[in-house]
Amino acid sequence: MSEGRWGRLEYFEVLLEPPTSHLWANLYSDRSIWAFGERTPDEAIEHLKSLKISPEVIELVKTEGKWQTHATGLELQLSDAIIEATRPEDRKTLSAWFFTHDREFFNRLIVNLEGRDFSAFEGKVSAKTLELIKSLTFERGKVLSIMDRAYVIRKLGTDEAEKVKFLRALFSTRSLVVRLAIDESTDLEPIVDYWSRGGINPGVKSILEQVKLTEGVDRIDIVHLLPPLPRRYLFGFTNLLDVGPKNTPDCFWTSIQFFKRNASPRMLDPLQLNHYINFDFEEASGDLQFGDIVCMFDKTTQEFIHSYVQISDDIVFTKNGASYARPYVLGLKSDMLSVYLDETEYLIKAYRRKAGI
Amino acid sequence: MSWHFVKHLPLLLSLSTVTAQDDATLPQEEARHRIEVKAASAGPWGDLEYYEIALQCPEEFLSAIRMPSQSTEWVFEASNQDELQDILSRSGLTEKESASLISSSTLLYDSEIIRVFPSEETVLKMAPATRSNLYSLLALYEQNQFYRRPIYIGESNLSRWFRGTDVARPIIEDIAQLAYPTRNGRGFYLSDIAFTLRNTTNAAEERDLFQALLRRKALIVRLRPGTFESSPAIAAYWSADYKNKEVLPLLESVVQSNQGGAIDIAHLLPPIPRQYLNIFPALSDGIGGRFPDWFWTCYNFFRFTPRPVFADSPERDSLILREFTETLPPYQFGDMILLNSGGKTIHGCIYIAEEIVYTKNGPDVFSPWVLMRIQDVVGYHDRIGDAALAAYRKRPSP
Repeated sequence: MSEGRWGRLEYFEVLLEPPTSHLWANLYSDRSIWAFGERTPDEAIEHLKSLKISPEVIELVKTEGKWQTHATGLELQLSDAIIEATRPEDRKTLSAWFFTHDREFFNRLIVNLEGRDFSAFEGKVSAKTLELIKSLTFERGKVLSIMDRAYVIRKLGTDEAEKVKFLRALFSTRSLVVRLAIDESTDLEPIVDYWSRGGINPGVKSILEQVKLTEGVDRIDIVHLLPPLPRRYLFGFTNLLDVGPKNTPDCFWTSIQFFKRNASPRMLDPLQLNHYINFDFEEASGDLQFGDIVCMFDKTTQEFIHSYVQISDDIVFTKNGASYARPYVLGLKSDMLSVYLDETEYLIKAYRRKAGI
Repeated sequence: MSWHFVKHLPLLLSLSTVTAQDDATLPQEEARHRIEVKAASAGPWGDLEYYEIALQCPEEFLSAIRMPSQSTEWVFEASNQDELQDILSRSGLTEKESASLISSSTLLYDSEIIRVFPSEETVLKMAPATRSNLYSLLALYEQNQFYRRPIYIGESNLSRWFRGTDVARPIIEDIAQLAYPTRNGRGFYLSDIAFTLRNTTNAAEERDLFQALLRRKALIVRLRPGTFESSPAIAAYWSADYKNKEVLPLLESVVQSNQGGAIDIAHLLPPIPRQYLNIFPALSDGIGGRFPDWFWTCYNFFRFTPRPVFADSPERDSLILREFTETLPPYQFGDMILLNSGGKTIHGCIYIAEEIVYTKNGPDVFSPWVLMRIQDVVGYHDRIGDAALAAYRKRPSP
């Protein structure tokens, strides 16, 4: 339950697994790869030593690793023994290095587990698969990650059904069905004021007034209080008709258009972050309001990392990344942050849409 | 399910008289007029419950309305009094009624029309059957906008219908006199909107009255707890042969979470109808030159990107033939139901479940996208009383 200026919100959790249509072929790849860019195999091994990867792993790389050079650079294909010898601290070190030197590879390789636990897998995959997954996870800051998806796929052999269960659970996203509680004693005026956002989000008043007058109804799903666009996308996955040749909807696409009637293809163009923020928005002051965009930047590099939309203090509307496997959700801020609070130190800025734009 | 509509007794007057005699204080009155949650019949859709709300149109729409005179004006396409008398006789009015109506009214002649300004007493005291006949006749002329598009009142308890508004009691009493039963006996029409202005005393009251009259009723519908015990069948129903497969992840999860909570069916609609549910059109919806109408709403129900096609688009019938197949009851989620009357299609809506449909009842900005009972949709549109339903099912995408 969440209580404040927004009224009293009650919710229950739903765990959204991507449909199989949204699991692209590469996710089923059983080739375990580490990427080393422009390095030669010898340089890569020296680099692993400098990262203090365990000597056992390095010896296995020398004897069992298969080196291949592609247009994207040098790749090391890993044997089962290499993966099994890799310690959690090795994975943490390697992932930090991939993050810094090859962000695209990092994004393909690393999956962060929402909630820092294994509940998404429980009851979905077999006990044996679950133990395997647990053995491969490692911590990065306050994030629980896995980088050996291909190894799990390999170990599942010909059990295609189990592979699907594993991948769907791996990319599952916690979400909330949220309802606003209203009873005869509820003072509607401040609640209407909060959800209407000064008239930017019209239509809230009459719905809430009618709910209050209805016998046997003590809560209304907040899908009816959301603007048209988030309502359209809520709980949905990326549709190919929204995808451009070079870009797909992501967290910022989702946030910046929150109060819009329809999604704009312009939002897939390679625009500067401040293209709209500096003109259609103002930096939010005081308590955050419904619909405010919260942006997270890397404090060191000023690089934009993530954005979400404020619903209440602890509930947000977001899409975690551009992946087809990540839906548009209402979720707990804590669940959303559980995949972002790695070693990065964040700078947080909030923006408020100006009225009349 | 039955498509036979129960004939409502036209007791609006007597019921409202009861209301008028009631001196209850506002809180008690509100409590008395509270709307209750109703259970729908269980079916392949699960176990539904619903309640009615009234949607208030955006304030800025009100300022766009050209406020009519409170003097009732009827326009007839006639050039002299004999022609007028003839038209009135053909509409079902007796000779005595026609003569009385003409003699008690002020008539202004134009080249092709006669403008009739009846007395207040004539308007107020007209028998319901006479009013129904006369107003059906007036609806034939474009000039009589309130008669062509009357307010539809879907119930006999006016106080409940106006709950949550600031409309004064004398105005509601006027409306109780002026509303007349629909042709199919389902609900009532109100055409004398201008007349009701006589009891307003200032501009604010006028706006409040129009705001109240322009409210549109809608249903909030929920799948009830326990529904998901037969989850595969229910998931199959709402996914409509995979035409609405986007809802499956949510349905799966709700089933698995097994928390027993009701779920609003807004979540089970495809993206476009969910996006528009319970909202009025906005300027951006008409930016191509046309605002969405019933066919736009039906045709785009399962589409991800709406296509600008309308009820009068030349390609309408070919689209229906190509992309839909005619079907018979039992209807399925997403079926397009057409209302045919007087030899033409007068409206279309989308079947959701049980007696509930998704509809946009007009191309104007005062018509939101809503869930309604099919009986009310028919009551609203069936001006002649002969509406027949035909259903079409969207073919699965190749």
